Amino acid sequence: MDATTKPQYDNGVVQYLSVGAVVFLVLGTIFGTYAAFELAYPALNLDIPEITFARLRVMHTNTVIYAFGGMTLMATAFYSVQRTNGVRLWSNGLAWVTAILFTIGLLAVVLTISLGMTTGKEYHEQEWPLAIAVAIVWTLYTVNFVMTIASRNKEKVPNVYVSNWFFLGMMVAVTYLYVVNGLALPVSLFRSYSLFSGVQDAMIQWWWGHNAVGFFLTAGFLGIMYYFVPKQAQRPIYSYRLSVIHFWALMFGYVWLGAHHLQYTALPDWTGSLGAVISLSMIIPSWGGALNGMLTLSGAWDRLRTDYILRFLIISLAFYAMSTFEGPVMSAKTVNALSHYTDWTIGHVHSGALGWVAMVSIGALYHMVMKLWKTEMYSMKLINFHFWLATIGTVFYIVAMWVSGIMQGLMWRAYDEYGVLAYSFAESVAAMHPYYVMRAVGGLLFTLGAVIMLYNVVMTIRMANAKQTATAGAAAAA
Amino acid sequence: MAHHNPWPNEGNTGHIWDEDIRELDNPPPLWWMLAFYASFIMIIFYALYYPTIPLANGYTKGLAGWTAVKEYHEDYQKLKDWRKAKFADKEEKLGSLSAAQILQDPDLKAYSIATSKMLFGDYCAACHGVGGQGNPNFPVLADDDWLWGGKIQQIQASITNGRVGNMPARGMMGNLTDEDIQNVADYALALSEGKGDDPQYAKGKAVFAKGMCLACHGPKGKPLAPAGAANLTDQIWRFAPNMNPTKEDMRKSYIHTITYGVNVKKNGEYLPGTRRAQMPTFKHRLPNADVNIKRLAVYVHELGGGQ
Ligand code: HEC
Ligand code: HEC
Ligand code: HEM
Repeated sequence: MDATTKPQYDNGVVQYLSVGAVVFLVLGTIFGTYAAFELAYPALNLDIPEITFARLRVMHTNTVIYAFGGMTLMATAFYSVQRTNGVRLWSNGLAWVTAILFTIGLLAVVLTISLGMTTGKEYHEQEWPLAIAVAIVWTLYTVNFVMTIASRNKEKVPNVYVSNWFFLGMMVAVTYLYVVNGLALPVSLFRSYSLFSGVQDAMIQWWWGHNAVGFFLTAGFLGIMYYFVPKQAQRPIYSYRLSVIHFWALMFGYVWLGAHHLQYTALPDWTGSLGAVISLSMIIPSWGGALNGMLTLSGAWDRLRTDYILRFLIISLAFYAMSTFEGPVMSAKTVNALSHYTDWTIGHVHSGALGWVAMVSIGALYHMVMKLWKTEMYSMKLINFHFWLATIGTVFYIVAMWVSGIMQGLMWRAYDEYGVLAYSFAESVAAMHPYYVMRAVGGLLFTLGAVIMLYNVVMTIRMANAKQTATAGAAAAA
Repeated sequence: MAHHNPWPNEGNTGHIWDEDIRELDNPPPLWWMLAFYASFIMIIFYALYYPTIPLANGYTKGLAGWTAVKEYHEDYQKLKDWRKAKFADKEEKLGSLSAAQILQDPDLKAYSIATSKMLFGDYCAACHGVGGQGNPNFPVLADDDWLWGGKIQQIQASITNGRVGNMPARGMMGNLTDEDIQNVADYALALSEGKGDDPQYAKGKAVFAKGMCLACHGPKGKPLAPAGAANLTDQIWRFAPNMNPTKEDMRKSYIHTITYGVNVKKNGEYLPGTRRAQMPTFKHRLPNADVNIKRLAVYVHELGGGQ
């Protein structure tokens, strides 16, 4: 095709965000792995307050979710919204401002957490000045995205592609949930108190908390899936109707789930039940997405043998299907009574976070790097190697946590022949040690994969830049 | 792009984005649709069964009559009934007999020990270690070296009311010099090796008298009666930087203890550097404290060092 007829897109900001995402993936998984080693060998905190588990854990979650996940969402959204609407960004300048502010904001978030400043609300630890900054950046991102869709040529692109619906759904939900949960009374620059108290605070917190998972880490990443899977597989999406149904089911369903985090607490019984039953009814809508992605490959399964990037995308769907089955099952009262407060939850989180979120992101990032720098990857072999490290690391992690979590739950409730609890808490902690080691090793493998990815991406960019200067030089010489 | 479809025969919807993204017109798989409807039906049944729907005043209670608190009480009651059926007589005796009497009854003694493990694990092990083997700065309970006495009543008193050891800084009058302290520390370490009478420690021995250490630690380094002071004639360390300290570690530790004392307070505040040694009181802390303290006292007594 003639290059001049091809639409031109704003690529610089996407390039920046893509590399940023990879860097934060490395950083976040290093935090996570070190935190995992600290749980296995507590002396590793070296008595330095800034890296004790309590802080490192939160630095980890903020870095992986917001820095890595957020940058990936921004990069993929800005990338795909242009291409699926056939226009440039509404404002490239605004996108740059958003990206830079986001980077600075996140570094500030991680830094303040390491200094011990926190609201104590999970996934909302940012104290109020930073929370306001995050909300502003998020709004700028949303406005730019919406306006880009609005500015498309409606003759040429009458319909809005499904990836954009998912991004939009995420943006709307995350905005109102984050803002409501963040309502607080500041008493000093880095200390504020929530407007809600007691059980209401808990409910609002998990209303947001679960949707940090449901919208930020799921809806947004389904948007990624819907653009990058058909692109990489070069196959049409299996079913338009399926995408409509599961989209609306997820949008309406997910906001109800938060209460499943608070069963058997002071929360009223009906609230917990409602959260649980809607959770159970989310299995099928969730599988709709996984199914639509996987069936897109039908007739092209053989490509998995040669296309390593596609492998990341497809295995992510398998993990997505698995963890969206596991989560609802864990919401059922009888299962929840065993699984809650145990490592099983942590295993569940990471089969989603590593298996689904990270894998689909990694696939999309490799895809974008090749397109954005118009080149092959520096090494396809290394991508394959990364794939195996990530997969084996993830499996190590979740298997270890399944075993340790279920064991922990069973030990807590075991009675001996006198009808007395059979194990003290300390004994259950001691029993978890081998699994903590195994999890940390899994994390190490996963992190190694991320480091290899960073290397591969950097080398690819250098290679592309060298080629460009060479061709430019050749053109000048001619 | 909608006008031009390069893939007319694959059954796509006719919408094409970014040159080659398109969607097929396939219906969702039948099993998926059925399961989707079944999910709705499940919600209805679940909502009938459990308390689920909020109303203007209250909420639907559900056919199961389930509430979380009820489930808890019922389960707990089941356990209590089971325990009562099997052990009511023993529990009653634990209530009415004294700890010393319990010790005399082999059956009750065994029962107390068996039912204490978890209590000890949850309330005591964090400081004293699982099985009472001690931790740096927390005394071993499984040996016969007692600060406050190893008789059953003494152990019971330790748990009931707690214990706070006291030792002044720099001797009874607070007047020992740094040199005195080094000498007396060397002497005290020599005591732990049974070499207290070696002439080379004479200076330290004199300080031991001058500082009136012997008032608490006894003339030969072994307290005459248990009143909280450490026995200095053995190698069971009270304050140590780790589980297996070297002699040099212990010399430093001794000098520190003698310089800053133990639980030394001024105006109700601990002075900097002073050793903190406090056994919390448990009479308000343990559930069913009356019986459980006896149970634990018997357990600790039988860890190995009871007298
Ligand atoms: C917060 C830490 C802590 C906890 C928890 C604790 N102890 Fe102690 N315990 C101590 C310390 C410190 C001492 C030594 C007091 C002193 O130095 O005078 C001590 C002393 C004792 C003594 C006296 C030892 C002696 O040599 O005379 C007994 C008996 C004892 N504890 C039993 C228990 C039991 C039983 C429990 C659980 C119900 C328990 N402790 C829980 C810190 C603790
Ligand atoms: C008022 C009583 C008292 C006097 C006087 C006293 N001590 Fe102590 N000393 C204690 C008590 C009580 C402890 C143990 C603290 C505990 O376990 O709570 C102790 C602990 C020690 C220890 C720590 C033992 C170990 O294993 O870590 C040393 C060493 C020691 N004393 C030496 C001395 C010397 C030397 C003097 C005289 C300069 C002295 N004490 C005077 C009461 C006293
Ligand atoms: C090398 C890979 C990783 C390792 C070793 C790791 C390790 C850990 C550890 C040790 C914890 C704390 C667990 C606890 O408190 O017991 C944790 C929590 C968490 N991590 Fe990771 N992590 C990794 C990657 C990720 C990624 C990529 C994401 C998201 C995209 C993620 C999301 C989370 C979340 C949300 C939590 C909090 C879970 C909860 O509170 O229930 N992690 N991680």
